[in-house]
Amino acid sequence: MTAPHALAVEHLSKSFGGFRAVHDVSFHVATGEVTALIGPNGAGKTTTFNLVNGQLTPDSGRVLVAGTDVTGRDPRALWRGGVARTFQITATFPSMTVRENVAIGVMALAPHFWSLQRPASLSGSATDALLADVGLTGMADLLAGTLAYGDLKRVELAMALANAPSLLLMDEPTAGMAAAEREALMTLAVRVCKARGAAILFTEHDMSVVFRHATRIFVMSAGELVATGTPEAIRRDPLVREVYLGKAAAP
Amino acid sequence: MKRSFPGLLGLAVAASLATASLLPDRVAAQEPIRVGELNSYKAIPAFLEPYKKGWELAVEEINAAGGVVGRKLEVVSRDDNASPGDAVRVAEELVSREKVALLTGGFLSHVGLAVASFANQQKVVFIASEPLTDKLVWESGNPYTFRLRASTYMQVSMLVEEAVKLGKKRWALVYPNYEYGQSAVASFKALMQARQPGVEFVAEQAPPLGKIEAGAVTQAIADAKPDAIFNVTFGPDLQKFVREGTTRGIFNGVTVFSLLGGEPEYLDPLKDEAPVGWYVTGYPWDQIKTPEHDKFLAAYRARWNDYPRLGSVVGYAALKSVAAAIAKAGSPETEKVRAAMAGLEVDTPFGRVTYRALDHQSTMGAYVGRTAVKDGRGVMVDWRYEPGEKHLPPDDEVRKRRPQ
Amino acid sequence: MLASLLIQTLNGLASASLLFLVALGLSLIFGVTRIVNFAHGSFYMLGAYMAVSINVWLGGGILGFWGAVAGAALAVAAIGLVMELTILRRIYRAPELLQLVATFGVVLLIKDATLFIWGPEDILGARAPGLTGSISIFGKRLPLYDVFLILLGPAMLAAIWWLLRRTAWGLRVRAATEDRGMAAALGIDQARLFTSVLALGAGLAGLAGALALPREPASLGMDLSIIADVFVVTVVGGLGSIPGAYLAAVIISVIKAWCIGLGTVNVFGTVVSFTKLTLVAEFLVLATVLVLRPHGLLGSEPPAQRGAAHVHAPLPEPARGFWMAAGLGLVAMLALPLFADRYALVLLTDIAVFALLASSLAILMGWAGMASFGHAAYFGAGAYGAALAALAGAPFAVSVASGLILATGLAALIGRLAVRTSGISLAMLTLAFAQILWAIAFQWDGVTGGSNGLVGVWPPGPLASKTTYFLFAMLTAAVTLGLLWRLAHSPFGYALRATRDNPRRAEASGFDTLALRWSAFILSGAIAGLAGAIFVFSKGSLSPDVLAIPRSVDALVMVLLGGFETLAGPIVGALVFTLLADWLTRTTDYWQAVLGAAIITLTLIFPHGIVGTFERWRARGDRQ
Ligand SMILES: Nc1ncnc2c1ncn2[C@@H]1O[C@H](COP(=O)(O)OP(=O)(O)O)[C@@H](O)[C@H]1O
Ligand SMILES: [Mg+2]
Repeated sequence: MTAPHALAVEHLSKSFGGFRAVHDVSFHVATGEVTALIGPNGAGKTTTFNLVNGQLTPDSGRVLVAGTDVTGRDPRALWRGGVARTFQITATFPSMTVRENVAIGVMALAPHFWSLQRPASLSGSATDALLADVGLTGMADLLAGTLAYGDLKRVELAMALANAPSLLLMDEPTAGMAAAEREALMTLAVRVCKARGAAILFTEHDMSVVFRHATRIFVMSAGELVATGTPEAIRRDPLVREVYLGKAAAP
Repeated sequence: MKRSFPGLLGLAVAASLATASLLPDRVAAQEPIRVGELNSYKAIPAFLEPYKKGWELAVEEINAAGGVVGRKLEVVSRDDNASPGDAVRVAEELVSREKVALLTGGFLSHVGLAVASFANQQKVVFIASEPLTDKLVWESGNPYTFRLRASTYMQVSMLVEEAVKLGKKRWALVYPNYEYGQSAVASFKALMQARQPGVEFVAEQAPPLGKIEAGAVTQAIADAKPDAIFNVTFGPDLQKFVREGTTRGIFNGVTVFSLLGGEPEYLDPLKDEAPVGWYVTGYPWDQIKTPEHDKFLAAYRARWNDYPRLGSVVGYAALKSVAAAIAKAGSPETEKVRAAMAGLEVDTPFGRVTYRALDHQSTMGAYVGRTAVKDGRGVMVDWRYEPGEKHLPPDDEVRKRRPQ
Repeated sequence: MLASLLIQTLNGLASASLLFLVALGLSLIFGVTRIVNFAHGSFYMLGAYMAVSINVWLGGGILGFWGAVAGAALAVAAIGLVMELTILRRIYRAPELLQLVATFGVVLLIKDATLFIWGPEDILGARAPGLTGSISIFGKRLPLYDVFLILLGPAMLAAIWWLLRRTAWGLRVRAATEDRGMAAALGIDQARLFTSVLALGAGLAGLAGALALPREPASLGMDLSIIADVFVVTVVGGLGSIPGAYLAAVIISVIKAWCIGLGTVNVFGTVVSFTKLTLVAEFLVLATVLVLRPHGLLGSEPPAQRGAAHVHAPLPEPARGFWMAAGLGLVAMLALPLFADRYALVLLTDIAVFALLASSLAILMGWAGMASFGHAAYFGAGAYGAALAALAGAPFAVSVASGLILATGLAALIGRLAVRTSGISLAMLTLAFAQILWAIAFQWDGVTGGSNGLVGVWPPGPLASKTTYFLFAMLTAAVTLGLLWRLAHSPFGYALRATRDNPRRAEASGFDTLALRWSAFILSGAIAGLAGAIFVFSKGSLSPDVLAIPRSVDALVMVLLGGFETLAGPIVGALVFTLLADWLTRTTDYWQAVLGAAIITLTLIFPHGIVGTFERWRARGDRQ
């Protein structure tokens, strides 16, 4: 028996009041693999992410994480099962310091809600290690709400990594960043995930970032998966060109 | 992130206030006898502004005549914010900081009961002027609490006296949905059933105080086809009830009894729309021709350039009671005043009244009559004074209701 | 029977129209500015009083009546405009609910001003000339004026619909209601829009007040008797939905009219008084609707407010010296009986109770981001639980525990339903439950003593003295608050603030946000219940007013005045508010006006609450 995939998605479908946002989508992400989900706006990428991490329940189809069927479980259960995510609109806790933000992620593993002590993770080595990994040690005591956007992305990355995930979902991680920053963030993400053995599935509009980092690419259009393959194969795929450039440009 | 020192600056802001409020601002003067007065002035201004004028007049008269037991009377008056909790705190302030000899006042029944309970615990005499609830001197009565005004039961009993004479069979009841309305109606039903067997109560409307849906209520009453209506609503509720009922013609051919309906506080705002022929308890201030009332009326008009309302009489009589009690006791000392209160006789604009030793209820009565419109305003006609003592239950019944 | 039902329905429709007119203004104001305008009932009251005076001034008659209606609407619109320009404009950047506190100050101010100008007596206004008669339907008379009102409601609905859909101004209003950030991006002059909406909203309330005159006298209780109903109508209909507001006004008014029409009915041998149900009918409707449809009948999920959303203040850990200072402060307090007189101790006992109550509310509002408009429910439950146990002969400790348990249980029950909603819906749902509890306490004579309440609940033996009770209250409050402050920076406190800052992130980071919010509700209810239990033994009696709206409002004002996202804020708020009110009632006859003015001034100087604003000043000083 082969080792199960970090993520397998089987015939996933989701409609919003008759509108098919995701239709019969199947793909898998191998352990430690870096993959990208691309497609034009409204293709259903975010919806697919929401189905995978439990924020939405699919109408049909299955989601398997490390071989376990997790369809219909809530985000919390998936988080415990090793699925972490970052959001298209960066999600942090703006009223808290960077350290507190990361420490909360670590704390959630063993919350000790009944304790009156400050969370052990606030001064814990796990928090420090995460801060160091994403290069935020120097900003640890700044309020998250006051950070620049790029720094905030790194905070979110550190938060997402707090549960030592086997799969990290990143929804448009570099949206709204300058070109140089994008590259740096994605390089950072891939590096720390590699080091921790986490697979990545990310969506991205910057094709240079996609082709540089992803080893496999899934293409969605109008809710359906229209192509899967290596960067090379995708680059040459006429269907993909059509999806991106429109029918008129097709040969 | 810097650690902070939350709130210490804010606490400093409060500190100046604190010194103003927490430290006694003056030492009670020895000379005058201080009387603590508390009432819901902001919540019930229509009744209590005249009330205040009443007791101010009384204090001036008492002091002009040399005060009591050789000392002047000084009233320290407070607003109780219409809240029992605040009232108890205010009472505490009056007693411990202002060093008042006794407490008086009160309008709302639940506030009155709270202050009465405080008076009992702190062993301070409380002369409740206006709270009408029967419980104040009966079920929840205590050795330190006395009440001036004719209670709900007494006023109902006065109207029942008239009602049984008419022999109406089908009655509709309207009352504000709180203890005053409920107990008025309960007493009315009990007294009517005892004195007129076969009486029927065909409709019962209990709108929330101050929020009557007058159109719907009058319509529902008309639908029940009553011979007579017993109304306990007052204030804005009563005015709405009268206007809607008149427009819809529901009072045609129906006899109406209205508790407190003849009090100037509630009758005057209706002006020429005042109902005609209703049986009411009230205060025909312009027609009473007794020496004691003439004297009061003249003094009140001279002092305030206004005519008295019922509240004026109650406030006036309350302070006269205080003075009489201290005079009889010979000192403002609590236990002596308390002893003096039992059986105390006081001259009021309504004549001499007695605080009964049995239940601490005074025998102050009320005027019962019918309403009419004269010169564009509501007045009482065919009225007479009903002394309070006539409308109290037999002594052993009172003993049963009052903890001994 | 059928004829009666029809007439009662028409009665309900007539009342609904007036209710709708007032709600309309509130809904517009809330939609555009997000201000929970507590002074809206005061505008309604002012409309009535103004109309009385203008009518007399114009010499009565047809011209007098309708001239007064128009004049009152304009005059009140001008007052709304002034309120926007002088007060609200300065605090739009403050947390949303702070504006509620400022408008509460306006309520007090207007109430006393009205008393000063028009005197204490109710004033029965003129009837509408030509509409004084009645028409006959199935042999029953319906006032002509009611017919006029029945038609007025839909007419106003159509007029406002036209204004919003067919005019440029309406377009701007809708844009601002649906997406404030977008509206700003489109170059809409926000300040002018807000001013005009405030004026229109106030004018509509004034118009309603003037039009109510033929049915109800101008009286000083008009403001508070309508404000709760209007909030209910707006929320039941769906915030910002004008047709929804009309629908809700109709439903509530017609249900009330039917209840009255049914009167007292014998159901399977038990006598049910439907007329007594009118005491809480609107809140029963509110609770039902919000549980089933959290955004109201015709409302939709409020759009996420871009940019304008309130960024929560940080809650830093107390400095090292803080606990030392707090300890010294407590010792000083406990030594107070050596210096202060008995009244100071009684006043401080009250302050300790209110500090607990306000702090319990701050757990919800500050830590968990859930505003409760009905916090008196748990305070009152604590008080009733303790009083009932004490009157049944339980020892003191058992009584206090009973209050605590009752309040905790209720908070668990109500919280379970409430935490699924958020924002104003949540706040109004808590208010609905509080009002239902209030009504139960009010009506259940046999157990709660009805409207008179329970008396003779004094603490036993050693605690009977004011001094020992003060020590007990102060110690209990101090220990509880100390634990609470520790809890703020425990895993629970962090997790709770995480769910407030970003619920999606918190869920994705493994937190059960619903369970956390629910726990906060229960904890908050427990502490409010403890406050209630201590309160009742310090007063010796209690009545349903411990559960009533003013108590909830006081708690809100204390929390917001002090700073709801700070630890010391609620305590400072309780201290300042209680001392201010106590001092003013003793100092001036017009204490309400002065208190109102003081509250407004405090909100203008301290837009983030007293402690919160100091924190900001200090933080800014640090940065420079
Ligand atoms: N909660 C929702 N309700 C209705 N439609 C939705 C919802 N979420 C997404 N959609 C629709 O589904 C489609 C796919 O959206 P999304 O997954 O966000 O696309 P992408 O992330 O690829 O840009 C879009 O047309 C969007 O409008
Ligand atoms: Mg997307």
